[in-house]
Amino acid sequence: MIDGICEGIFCRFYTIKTCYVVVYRPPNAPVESFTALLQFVSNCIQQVNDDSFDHNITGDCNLPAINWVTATLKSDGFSEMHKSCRALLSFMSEHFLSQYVRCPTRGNNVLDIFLTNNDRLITNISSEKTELSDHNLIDIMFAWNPLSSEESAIPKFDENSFRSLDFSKADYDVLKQKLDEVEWPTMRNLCSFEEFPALFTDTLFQICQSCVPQKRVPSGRPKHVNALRRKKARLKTRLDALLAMNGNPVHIGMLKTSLLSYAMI
Amino acid sequence: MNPSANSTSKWKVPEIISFVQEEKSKNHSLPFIALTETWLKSYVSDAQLHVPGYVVSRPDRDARVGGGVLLYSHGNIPVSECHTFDDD
Repeated sequence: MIDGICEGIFCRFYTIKTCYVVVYRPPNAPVESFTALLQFVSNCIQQVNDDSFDHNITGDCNLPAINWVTATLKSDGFSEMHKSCRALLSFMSEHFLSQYVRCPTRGNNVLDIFLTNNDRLITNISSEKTELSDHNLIDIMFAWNPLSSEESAIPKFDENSFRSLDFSKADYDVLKQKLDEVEWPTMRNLCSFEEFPALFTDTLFQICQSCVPQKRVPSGRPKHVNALRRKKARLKTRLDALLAMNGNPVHIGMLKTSLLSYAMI
Repeated sequence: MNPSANSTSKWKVPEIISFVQEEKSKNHSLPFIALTETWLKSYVSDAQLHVPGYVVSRPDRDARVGGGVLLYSHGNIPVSECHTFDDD
């Protein structure tokens, strides 16, 4: 007989700017216990009060009613579990967290979850059966290992794959026109049934390559740092211009002071 | 009967130790290992849960049955602070 009380442990690792939370929600937990747990995690995150920290939350929430592909409920309802599902989803949006475990962790259900606010952290998740538990053992691969002193590699995409193309910048009118021009039935008759999928993919890729630009390799720097660097560059340009034309010394002094606050970036 | 003969210290810890050693032999090191359903009580000492090279962080459920969470973190990543939640 398991009692219905949730629990959690929150650990902060200052040297790697990461917080880890392990949570457990028993299947019969009342919603009050679960929301108290989420409130505890919220308070801990707020105490850290630093946007550059990664917050990783893992554990067994026993909430099979969430479809994690869409992050929505599989069915309507007002049971304790449904209420807890809604509490978890709103907690996630409040703290910009995403859940990355998609593979079943017990039977056909995703009960064990991994939430993080760092969308570049996870490269792979797999689960395997273990003799030790009725839940699977879950292996979560990170893009970087805090224990390795090597510089983390910037993910590079294979130039000959669809992933290398930036479809958000595609010219869809040209793409559509080019796709319409292909004589698919003729192409189908050119090769055997087994060979056609490869030919189809190659043709599609060549067309996409001709009107979709390549993705730029990410700089590895977070977006907000880039924004600050741009701001710093703008201030510097203004200062240089003022200096060049012997501008108002008060303005020059003010610009110099505000530039000082960007010295670390 | 030895009160420590629960599933975590008896079965899970030796399994984790061998898993960590296996990874180490492949030159991989795991920064973190999280466990749930540890069923641990405070009479189980940290020494009984020791995994070489790792620090264990745990709350215990003395008044409860079942549950339990635990985090192993690699010794090279110091734990700066730790809070536990147990809704009494």
